[in-house]
Amino acid sequence: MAFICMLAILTFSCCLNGESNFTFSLEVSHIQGSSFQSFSQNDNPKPVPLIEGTILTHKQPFAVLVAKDSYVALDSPDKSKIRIGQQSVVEFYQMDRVSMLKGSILVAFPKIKTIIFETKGTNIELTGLGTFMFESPKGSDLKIIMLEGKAMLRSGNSKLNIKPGELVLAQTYKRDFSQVIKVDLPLLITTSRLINNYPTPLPTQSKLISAAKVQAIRLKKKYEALIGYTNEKNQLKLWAIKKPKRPSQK
Amino acid sequence: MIHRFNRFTKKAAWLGLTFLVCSVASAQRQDDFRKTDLDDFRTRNALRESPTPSPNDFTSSDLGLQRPVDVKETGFGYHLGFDSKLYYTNNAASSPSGIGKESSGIWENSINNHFILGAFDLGGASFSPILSIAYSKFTHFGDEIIETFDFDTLSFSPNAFFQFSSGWTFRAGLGVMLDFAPRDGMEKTYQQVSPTLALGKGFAWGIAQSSWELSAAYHATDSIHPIQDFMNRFEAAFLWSFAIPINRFEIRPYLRFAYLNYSEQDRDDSLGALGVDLRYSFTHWFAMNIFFNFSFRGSNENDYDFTRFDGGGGLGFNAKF
Repeated sequence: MAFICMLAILTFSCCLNGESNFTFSLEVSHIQGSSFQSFSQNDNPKPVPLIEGTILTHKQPFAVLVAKDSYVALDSPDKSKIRIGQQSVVEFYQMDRVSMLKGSILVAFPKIKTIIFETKGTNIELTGLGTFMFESPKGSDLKIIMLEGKAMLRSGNSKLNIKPGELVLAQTYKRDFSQVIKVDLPLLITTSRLINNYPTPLPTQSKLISAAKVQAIRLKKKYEALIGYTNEKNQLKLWAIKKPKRPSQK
Repeated sequence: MIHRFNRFTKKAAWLGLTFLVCSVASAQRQDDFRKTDLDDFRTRNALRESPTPSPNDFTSSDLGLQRPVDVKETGFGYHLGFDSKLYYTNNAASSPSGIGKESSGIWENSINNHFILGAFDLGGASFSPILSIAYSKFTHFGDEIIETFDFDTLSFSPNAFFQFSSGWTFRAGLGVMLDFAPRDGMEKTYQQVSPTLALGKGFAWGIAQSSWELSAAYHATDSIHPIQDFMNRFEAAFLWSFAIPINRFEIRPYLRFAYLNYSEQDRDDSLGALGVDLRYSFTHWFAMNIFFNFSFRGSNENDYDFTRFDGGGGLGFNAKF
C-alpha cells in the first residue's frame, strides 16, 4: 500500500514537472544579426543559431547569446515581451528566473508577475507589471530602469518601490540598492535601441509615451550630465555634457 | 449765438457719434477672435512639445541615453507671463465700413497666469488640469473717439487637458470672460461663459512643431445690448499653429476659421484670422516679437461683415515655477 502511495506521489510530481516544463516556452519573434541558443549540458555542445519562429522550451536551462550589432525579441505565452540587446548572454533557468551573464535586456509584463534577475553577486526579485530595462556589461553590478508601470524590487531584506523614470543600481554583494536616480524619460525612450531597433513597437509603447509626457510636465531640472556604468569602486560614472563654445568665446 | 449753437450742435453730434461708434465697437469686437485664445493654445501645446534629442553615440549602451533629472512629485506648476504690445489696426471696432471703421494705435498690456495643477499618468494617456487667469488692458490712441474704445478684459478658464501617445489631445474647459470700460468707472460691458470641448493633434515637420485644434463652444453672454443674451452663440472653430525655431528666432504662423450661429438672432457668421508672430528670445524668460494679423468676418447680416489688419510688436516676460 505504501509502495502504491509513493508511486502515485511520484507520478503526480512528474506530471507537475512535465506541465511546468511545457508551459515555459518562448517564441523567437524577431532576429537581427546573429544569435544562438546554448545549453549547459554536454549533449548539445555547440550553440544552435536562432531563427524567427523558433520555440524555446524549457526542458533544461539554456542561454541566449546575442552577437555584436544583433538583437533578439522573445514572446512568452502570457504576452510578456523580452528584448535582448547586442553582445548579451542571458540564461533562462525557469520562466521566473533569469541570469544576466553580460549585456542588456528589456522586459514588458502586461500582468503582475514575480521574476528573479541575477548576476554574479546580485539577486533581485521584481514583482509588478510594466516595462523595465536591465543592464550588466560585466555580469556583476545590475542597472535597473523602470520605464512605466508599478513594481517593487527586493534584494535580500531590502525593498524598493520603483517608479517610472527611476534608475537604481544593485551592486555586487551588497544587500541595499543604490540611491534612486531619476532619468530623462523622453530622451531615454527616443535613444534606446532596445525600444527603437525593432520592427514592431512594444505593446506598452503608448504607456511609455504617456509616462514620458507626465515626466516632461513634472520636470524641474535637467542636469548637464549623462550616466554611464560603474567604475572599479562600483560607483556610477557621470559624464558632464559640455556645451559647444561659441566662436566669440574662444 | 449762431456760433454757440454750432458749437453745441457740433458737441452733441460728436457725443452722438462717440456713443454710436462705441456701441458698434463693443458689439462688433466682442465676438472677434482674441489673441489670448491663441496664447492659451500655445501654452497648452508647450506641455507636449519637448525638444527632440539627436541620437548621440556617447554610449554603446542599448538602454539609451540616461540623463539625470529632477522631477516634481505631482507636477504642480505655475507659469507667469507679462506681455506689452504696441500695434496699429486699420479697424479698431471691427466695423464693416463707414463711421465705425476707424484706424487706431493700440497699446495692449496683459498678464497671464497658468496654474498646472498636476500631471497624472492614466496608462496610455496623461491628464493635466490647467487653470488660466489673464487680465488684459487695451488702450487706444488716435483721436478722441478712438480713446473711448479702451477696454479691459478679465478671463478665467479651467481646462482638463488630456494627451494621448499618438499625439492626439482632448480638452474640456469652461471659459469665463468679462470686459470692462475703464473710462466709464470700470462698468462691465460684456460677459461670456463658454463651455468648450476640443480635439487636437500635435506633430513635428522637420524642425517645425505643428498643432491643430478643432473646438466646439457655446458662448452664453450678457452684453450692453437691450436684449440680455443677444450675443449668445454656438461656435465651431479650427485653429492651426506652427512653431519654426531658427536659433533664437521662432516663426509662428497661425490660422483660425470659425462658424458662428447666434441663437437669439437670425444670424450665421464665418470668422477667419491668419497671421504670423516673429519672435526673438534674448533669454528663456525674455523675448521680443513682431506680429501681423489679418482677420475678417462674413455674415448673412451684412452689417457685421468686416476686414481688419493689425500689425506691431512687443516685449514678453515669462517665468515658470
